[in-house]
Amino acid sequence: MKRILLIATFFALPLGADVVVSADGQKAAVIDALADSVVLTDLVSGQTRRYEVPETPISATFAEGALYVLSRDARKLTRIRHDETISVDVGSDSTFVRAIGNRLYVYSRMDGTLTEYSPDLRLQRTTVVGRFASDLEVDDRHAYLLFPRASEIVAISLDTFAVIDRAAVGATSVDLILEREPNALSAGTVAVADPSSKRVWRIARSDSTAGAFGRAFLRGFLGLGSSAVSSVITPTGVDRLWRAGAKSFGYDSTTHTLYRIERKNVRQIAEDIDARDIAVTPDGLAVWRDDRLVDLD
Amino acid sequence: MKSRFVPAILFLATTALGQTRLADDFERAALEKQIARERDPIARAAAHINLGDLDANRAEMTSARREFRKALEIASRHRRSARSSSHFTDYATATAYAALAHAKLGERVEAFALCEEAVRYLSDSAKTWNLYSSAMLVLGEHAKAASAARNAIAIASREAAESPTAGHLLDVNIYQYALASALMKLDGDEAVAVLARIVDSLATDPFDPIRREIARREAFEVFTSTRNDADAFLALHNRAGLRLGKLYEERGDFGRARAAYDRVLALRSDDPSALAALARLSANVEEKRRHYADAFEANPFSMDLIREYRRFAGDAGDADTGTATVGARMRRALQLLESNRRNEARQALVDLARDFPRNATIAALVREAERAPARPAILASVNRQGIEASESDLRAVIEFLSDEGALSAADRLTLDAMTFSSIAEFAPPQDNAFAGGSIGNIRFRFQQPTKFRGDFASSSNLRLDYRILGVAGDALLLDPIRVARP
Repeated sequence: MKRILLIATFFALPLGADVVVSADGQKAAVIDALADSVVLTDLVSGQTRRYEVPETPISATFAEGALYVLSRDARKLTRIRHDETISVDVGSDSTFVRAIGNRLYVYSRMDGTLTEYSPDLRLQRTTVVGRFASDLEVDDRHAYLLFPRASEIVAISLDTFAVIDRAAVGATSVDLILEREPNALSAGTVAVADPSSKRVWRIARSDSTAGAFGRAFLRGFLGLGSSAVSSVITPTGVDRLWRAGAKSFGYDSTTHTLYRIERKNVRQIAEDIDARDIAVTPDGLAVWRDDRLVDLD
Repeated sequence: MKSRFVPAILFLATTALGQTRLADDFERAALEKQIARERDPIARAAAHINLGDLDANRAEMTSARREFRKALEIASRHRRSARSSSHFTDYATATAYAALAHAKLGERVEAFALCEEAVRYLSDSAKTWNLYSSAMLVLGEHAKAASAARNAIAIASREAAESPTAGHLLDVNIYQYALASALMKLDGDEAVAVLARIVDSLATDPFDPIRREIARREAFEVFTSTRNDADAFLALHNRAGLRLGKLYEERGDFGRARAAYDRVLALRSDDPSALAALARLSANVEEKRRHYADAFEANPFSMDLIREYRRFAGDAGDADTGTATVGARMRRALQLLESNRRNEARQALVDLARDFPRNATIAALVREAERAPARPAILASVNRQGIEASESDLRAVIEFLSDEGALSAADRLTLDAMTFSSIAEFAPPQDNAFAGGSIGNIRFRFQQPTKFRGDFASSSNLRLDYRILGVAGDALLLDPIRVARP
């Protein structure tokens, strides 16, 4: 699940920085891709520590008690844990790092590969999945990559580490989140931002080993009607999606408008807001103003 | 305008190394016409960025920023329009241009954010990565620029492998040049290797049709904004060759440096940077003068050229430049500055400023010429009797004495207590009385014609011991103590 952004009120956010928060909400990392630095903050004690990282830290995630930082232009994946920092080489134009369980996944946009690492950064597996994806998300069974040129999601089985399914979705889809974790009743959904058609598509995930998407999705896509695919229309083209707890949010980067994406409705909750100021808390969204968090939703 | 050339235009523009002023004016006129008739917002934004770069090369920064701001407005408007009509390729391209405009304005965070936004949508576009690289290079982020350039090369190389046309191969070389530019501050060895590959590649068979086209059009002018393959080829050939030559020079490999500059001049015989470089590398003073004269004719306001020439003029001394051209007038003014003839230098520069009122280079030189002269080193001499004064020492004294308020009472007392000795060439005496003469190129005269004990009437070069009383125009006013045969 994509977890994003900042909780703490303990420090000022550098202009242009992004924030990653740990799953337990106890740590946050402010990633400054322009300054090539990471500030790690203990949200309980307020202690901060700054690290210089290799060129262009573009993606980061917490896992197994450590922070993993992907430095795209240096082609490095770095693990920061207490006083120890180790790095390994990664592929060309590596853009996303995600963690699930005790595994890390790195996508190389230029090589078109997905690589699996152990927590101590030993390479486990690599597979060719396609170049130039715009987003990567993982659940405990699959990795999902979104290709805007073809407007297609590709699903990779984390068991076989091979592509097992593809689904065309929307016109120019650029971002995706995983909603509704799999449970006994449902395999969960993938939500996809398609600013071209001004929709957020929702596709059921499959609990079958034969494919990643509900087979009904295909029927639905062919217009035969299905509960496995749905969409909501957004007033303007949403191009970013966030998940905070049980809530989904969408953002339009050109009009700077923030929406709450509900099951059948889309509700505007803020306008003229910079995405970099937005903070996701376990309860919802807040905005960073004058070194304070102000609730939005 | 072919869209393929737009990013190539921009990249080469950001690294322009000094083209002729005539070419600048012509190119400016061409870009302004293009802006007036062009409907494509991307092409218009690119043209404004090119105009801004032309202004920046002339040190006209206010105009440059105005052009970059216009480019940003156009690109931003087109972003919004493309986005609302769901044309995402256009949106991403406009976003990349807006990023570059932000970078030109020094707006780092905005530039980086928009670069990232552009590649979200078009990470498979070599042009987009090239714009990203250009923006990062402008911001001084060389590692980021190099990485983006490598992405552009990787994508373009695949396209060229599938379809090895001159156009595709030219694109690969343009992106290689972007990489070399980024590497200049990171890894000089790799930069040299990349530039050498470019120069060699441009000499290969696939580019024969372009070279024939260039020869057929007799088009040898290198423009910042390129409109077709031939223009892009020429610009790249020129820039890569100059960069390569400079790197070889820095490494002390002067033979390879000369060869690189000669290669540039083979295709463009009046390139000012190549000519200045050959002047630098020449062992012969007259050959240096000739190359510098040619370089100033090509671009009289290049600060790099001016700095180099001043070092040369300081060592080599004056030479007649004439005043027929702007280049000659600049060289004359610089020679005057270097020989501490500030009043004359100031006048020459003020005359130039009248003809080029917006030129920041001339304005800076005028300010320098108008600054109060430094206290002559000779006034600090420990030994105050029989000081052997050189021509340069005496020039400094003239400048100092000519500046009202520069000479303090203490300095006046010091000067009055000093005696000097120089070899002087006297003007023919009248009734055995000497009125004045010159020490080197410094003219002097006495308060009144003076007769000396001894027979000196038949000699013109004599050792003169004297005190300095003051200045009369550009001549020194001396109080003679004695003369002797040298």
